Amino acid sequence: MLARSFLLPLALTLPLAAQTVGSKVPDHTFPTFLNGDGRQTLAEFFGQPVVIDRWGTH
Amino acid sequence: MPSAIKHDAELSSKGLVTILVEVQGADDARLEHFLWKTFPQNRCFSCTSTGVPLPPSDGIPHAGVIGVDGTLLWAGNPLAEPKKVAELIDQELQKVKKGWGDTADARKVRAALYGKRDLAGAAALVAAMADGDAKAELQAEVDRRYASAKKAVANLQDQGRWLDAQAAARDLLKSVGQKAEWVAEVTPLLAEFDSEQGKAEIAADKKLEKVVKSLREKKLDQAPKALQALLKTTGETKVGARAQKLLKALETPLEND
Repeated sequence: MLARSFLLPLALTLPLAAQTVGSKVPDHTFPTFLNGDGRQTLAEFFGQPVVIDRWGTH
Repeated sequence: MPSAIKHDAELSSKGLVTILVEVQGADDARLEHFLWKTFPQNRCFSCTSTGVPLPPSDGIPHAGVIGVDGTLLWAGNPLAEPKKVAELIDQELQKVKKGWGDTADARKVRAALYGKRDLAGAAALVAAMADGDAKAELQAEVDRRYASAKKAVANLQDQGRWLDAQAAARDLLKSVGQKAEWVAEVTPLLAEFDSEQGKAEIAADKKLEKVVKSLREKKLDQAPKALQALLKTTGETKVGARAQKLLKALETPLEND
């Protein structure tokens, strides 16, 4: 599964905007979460550390 | 993925938020089926998306750690630097617990607001501060946190997760303490769960939770039949719509089925 993932078109893994370590991350609205707690935007998680993990099902 | 799920299981109660973003083009149904089949214990926030606010990468897995104040602290392959990721998470969770900022007031307010999840306590600390920019900034944080928590209850209801919504509303009422303005707004939210519609949604959600529990116990094959039976009783409820969505997901084929 992981081996295949590296072959996918880059377009599918492009970020919304280039961010750099040390900069503030702009707000972002996510699609409805499975397992969420009703919050949908990055700004609503202010005050808590957030790990965003990009992965694939193929 | 497994390491992210493990971190989340261990640390979400301390404030860590883990968001799994599927970036290979899966739709909601495929993602949900895949997660139930492959990672039934996953409780991370999980979604489909093609865009995330992280630096570019050549492939996956790729992750980012965002600090409590919204700063990007690290980005890269989480499998390459697991110790670094764990240290950053621990560092930020200490800030959640103890608060952060340039002044003692800021640290106290944030420890109450984010560490103890005590909206009333945080609001009282802010109220006692001298007027100025620092006070205004912290007041805005308290107001945003309250507004977010209130909106989350409505979102969960809309998503057909009425048991979670009820728990969130109860937590919110506890958090706002005796602050009259907030109590006046939160009390009606809780009353919705005692309405006829609310009772119907809660009853349906209790049945759906049994199916979800069976999914967590890896009884994937039994779930569609249970959902079909459930859908005969849920009527036009939000929970029924969620059950229908789950059934559709479980009926969506995966390549290796």
